[in-house]
Amino acid sequence: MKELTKIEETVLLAIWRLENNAYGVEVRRRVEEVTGRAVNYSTLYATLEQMVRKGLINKQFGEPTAVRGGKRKVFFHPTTLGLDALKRAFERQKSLWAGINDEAFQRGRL
Amino acid sequence: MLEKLYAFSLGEGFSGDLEEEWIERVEREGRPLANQWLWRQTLASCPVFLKLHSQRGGTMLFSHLKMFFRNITQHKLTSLIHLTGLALGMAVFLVILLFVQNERQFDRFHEDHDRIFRLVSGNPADKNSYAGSPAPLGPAMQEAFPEIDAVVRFDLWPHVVKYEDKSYREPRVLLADSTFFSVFTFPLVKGDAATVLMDPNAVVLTESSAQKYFAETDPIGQVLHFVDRGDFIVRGVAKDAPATSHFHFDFVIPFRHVGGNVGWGAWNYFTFVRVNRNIDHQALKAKIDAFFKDRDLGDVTKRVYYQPITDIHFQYNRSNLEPSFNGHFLLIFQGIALTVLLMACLNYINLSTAYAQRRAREVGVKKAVGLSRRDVMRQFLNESLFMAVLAEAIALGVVAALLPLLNRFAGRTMGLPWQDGVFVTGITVLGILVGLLSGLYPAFVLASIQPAQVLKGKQIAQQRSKLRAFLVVVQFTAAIALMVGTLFIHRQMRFIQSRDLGYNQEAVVALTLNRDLRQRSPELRHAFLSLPDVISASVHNHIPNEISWCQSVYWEGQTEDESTTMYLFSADAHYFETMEMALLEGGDRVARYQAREGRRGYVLNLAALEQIGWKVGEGRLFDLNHDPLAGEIVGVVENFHYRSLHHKVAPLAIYISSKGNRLNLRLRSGNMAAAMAQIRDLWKELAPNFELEYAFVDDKLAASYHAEEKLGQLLNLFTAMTLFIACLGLMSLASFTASQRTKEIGIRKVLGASISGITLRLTRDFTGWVLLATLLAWPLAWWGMAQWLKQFEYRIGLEFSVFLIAGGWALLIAVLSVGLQAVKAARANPVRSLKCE
Repeated sequence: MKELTKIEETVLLAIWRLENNAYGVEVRRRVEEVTGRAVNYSTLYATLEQMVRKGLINKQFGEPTAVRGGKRKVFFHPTTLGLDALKRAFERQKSLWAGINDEAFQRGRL
Repeated sequence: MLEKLYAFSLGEGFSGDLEEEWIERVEREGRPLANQWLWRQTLASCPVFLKLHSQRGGTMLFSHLKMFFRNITQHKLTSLIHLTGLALGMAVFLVILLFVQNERQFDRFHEDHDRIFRLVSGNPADKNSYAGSPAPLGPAMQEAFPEIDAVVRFDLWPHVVKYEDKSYREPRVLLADSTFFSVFTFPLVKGDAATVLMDPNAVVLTESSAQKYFAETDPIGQVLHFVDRGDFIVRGVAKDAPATSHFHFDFVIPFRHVGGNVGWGAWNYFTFVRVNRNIDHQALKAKIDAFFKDRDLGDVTKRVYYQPITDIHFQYNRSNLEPSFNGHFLLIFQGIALTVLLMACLNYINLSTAYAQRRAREVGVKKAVGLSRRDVMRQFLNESLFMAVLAEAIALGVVAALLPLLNRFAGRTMGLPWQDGVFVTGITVLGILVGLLSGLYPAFVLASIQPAQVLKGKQIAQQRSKLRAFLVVVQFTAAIALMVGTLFIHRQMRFIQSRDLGYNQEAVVALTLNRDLRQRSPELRHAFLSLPDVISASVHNHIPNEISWCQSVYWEGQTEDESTTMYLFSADAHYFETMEMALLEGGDRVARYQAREGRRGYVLNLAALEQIGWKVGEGRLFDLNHDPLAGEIVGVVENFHYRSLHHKVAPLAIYISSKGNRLNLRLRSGNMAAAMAQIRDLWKELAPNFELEYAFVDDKLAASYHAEEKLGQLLNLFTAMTLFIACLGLMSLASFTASQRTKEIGIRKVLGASISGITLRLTRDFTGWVLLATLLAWPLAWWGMAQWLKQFEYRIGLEFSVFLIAGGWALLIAVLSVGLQAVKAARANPVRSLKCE
C-alpha cells in the first residue's frame, strides 16, 4: 500500500488524538496548531473525503445542534486500515530519525 | 447565499463547521474580522468545489489555467493586445445591444401595452400619416365597436402654473380623459386611478412636480392656479413617466378643458383605444374602414388606422409628440455590434496564428512527452476561453463604469439588467462563444505543430497569408464603410441646417403672448416697433406641436373629390415682411390689408396654389367653411419651410388676423444684448404681470435636429472604434511580419538597401489589402446611405468625393500604422539580427 501523504498523516493523527470529538472545527484547529499553517475548510474536507475513499477513516453523523443552525456534525474515526497506515508511518519515522535528539541539533552533529 | 450552495454540495458537516467556527470567531475577534475570514474560506473553496463537480477532465482545467497566466506574463504585450481587442469588442457589443434593447422597450411598461393602440389617419408606416384625431372620434368608436374596451384622449399644452408665490411655465401639461390612468400604466403614488380625474377641477401631479411646488408637504387638496384656465385641486400624485415612454408630462387635468375646436373638423388630439383581448384585428380593421366610409368627415382621403402603442416610438408620423427613432437604425446598430465583435475575434485569430512560433517549442515538448493532439488543442482552447472570460469581465466593468456617461449622452436610462435571467445566460453564452470562436482555429493550428521539426530548431511554416489578408480586408471594409456613412450623415446635417428655409431665421426673437396679451397684439406690436433696435415686428399664432394645424379648406369652383385639408395658422399682415419672405402675389397690398367686414383674408403658399390648380390666386374666394365661402386670397407667398426638412413643403394657408400668441421682432443685427435689454424693459412697462418668455427662432430650429445630431455623434464613436480595432489588428500583424523578416531585412541592409526602400517593401502587401477593402466598402456604404437619405425630402447627392476622402483617410492611417512598424524594423541593426542563427 502506498504511504500516507503529509497532510493525510497530519489529519489522521489529529483525528486519532481527538478520539470522540473529531469533527471539522476541532480537526482544523488541531492541524493548525500542530503545523502552524492555516488550513481551509475546503482543503480539509477534500482531504477527508479522499481519505474516506481510501478507507483510512470513516465518517459518522452526530446530533444536530442549535449552534450550527440545525445541521449535524460529522465525526471521523480512524479505521483499522488507517491505524495501520499510521503505525507504518510511525515506524518509518522511528527508523529515519533513530538516535537524533535535541542535543544533536545543539552540537551540530550526530 | 454562496455558502448555501457550497453547503449543499460539500455536505452538512462543512457548512455546519463553517457556521460554528464563524460564531466563535465573532465572539473572539468581532464581526468584521469574522466576516473576512468567512469570505476567505468561501473563496478558497472554489477550486475544490469546481473539482468535485466537474466531469471528466475537470482537473486539467487548473493546469491550463496556470499555463494561461504563465503565458500572459511571458508575452505581456501580445496578451495585452489580445485582451484589449476582445474586451473592446465585447464592450461595444454590449453597449449597442443595451441601447437597442432599451429602444425596443419603449412603451412596454404599460400593463396592457399589447392592447393599446393609437388612432391615426393614414397608414402609420407612411411618414405622411397624421397622428391626430378629432375629439369626437374616440367616443364614437367606442360606441360603435364593442371590441373597444376603453378610450383615452389627450392633448399636451403649455401653461403657466402658480402656487402661492411660485409661478412657472410648464410646457408639459396633459389634458386627458378620466380613463387616462386606467388605460396607461403610470402608477399613482397618491390617489385612485379610476376616480382621480373625475372631478372637473382635478389635477394630478407627477412626483417631480409635487417636489417642485410643494417640497415635503402633502399636495393633496392644495389648489394650483393655471393661468387662463382656472383653479385646480390636487387629487393625485403619479410617478414620473419613465424615459422609455413616447410622451412625458408633468401635470394632468381633465380633457373637458381643452380649448379649440372639439368638433369633427379639427384633428387636434391624440386618441388611444384599448381593445379587448383576443380580438380579430383584421375583422376590426375592416369594420373601421366600413364605419368611415359611411360618414362624411370632410376629407375622405383620410382613413383611420390603429397603431400599436409600442410602434409609436419608431414611426415617424406627422405631429408625433416627441421625436421618433428610425427603426431601421436599430438593425444597423445591431449589425455594427456584431461586426465589431467579429473583428475583435478576427484580430485574435490573426495574432494567435501569427505568433504560433512562440509556442512552438512548448507544443513540441508536450507532444514529445506523449500528449495527444487533442489534448494540446484542448489546452489552447481553454486558454482562449479564459481569455474570453477575462475580457468579458473587463468589458462588463468598463460598460458599467461608462453607463452613467452614456445615459446622459443618449438621454436614456440604460442599466445592466443583472436580474434578468436571459441577460445572465446571454453573457455567459457570449463569453463562451467568443472564446470558442476565436480560439478554435488557432488551437487547431498550434496543435498540429510537429514536435520533430520544432525540437530541431526549425521555424514552422508560415502559410496562410491569404487568411490573414482576408481578415485584414474584412476589418477595413467595415471601418471604411462606417467612415463613409458618418461623413455623409454629417454632410446631410450641415446641408439641412444651412439650407435656405425661405425666410430669414436669424436675429428674430419670438415673444410669447398669453391669452390676455393676445387681445392686445396690435397695440403691443406698435409699441415694440418703436424700439430703436427693432427693424420690424409682426404677430402670428403659433401652435406648440404640429397637431392642430390641419383644417379642411374650400375654394371657389372646388369639386367634390377635390376636398382636402391644408396646414393653417394665422398671422398678421406684416408677418411676411418681418420674416423676410418672398411674396409672389400681393406684394405691398398684403401689408396694408385691412380685414373687411364679413370677409377673411388668406395668403396661400405656392404649394397650396398649385394644389388647387390656379395660376393666379389673388382675389379668388377661399375659406375654411364652404357655406358661405366668405374669404378671399390676398397674396401668395413663396414656399418656405414651416416644418423640418424631413418634409416636402405642403400646402399652407395663412389666415390674416391681427391677433396672435407670438410677437416676432426682427432685431438689428449687432448688439443682441442691448436689444434684449430694451425689450425686457418695455415688456415690464407694458405687461408687468406677465413673465417675459422668448426664444430665438434660429435656436429653436437647431433644437429640432437634435435627434440626428445625437445619431451623428454616436456613429462617430462607432466608426472611431471600428477603425481603432482594425488598426490594432493591422499594427500587430505588421510588427509580426516585420519580426519574421528580420533576417531578410538584415541581409538587405548589409547589401546596401536604404531604410526607405525596405520600408516600402514591407508596406506594399498591406496597402494592397487596404485598397481592396476600400473597393469593397464603397458599394456597401453607397447602398446604406441611399436608404437612410430616403427619409429626407431634401437631401444631398451621394458624391464620389466623400468616398475618396474616406478611402484616403483609411489608407493613410493604415500606411502610418504599418509604416511605423516597418521603419522600426528597417532601422534595426543588421549585425544583431543576423547574429542569431
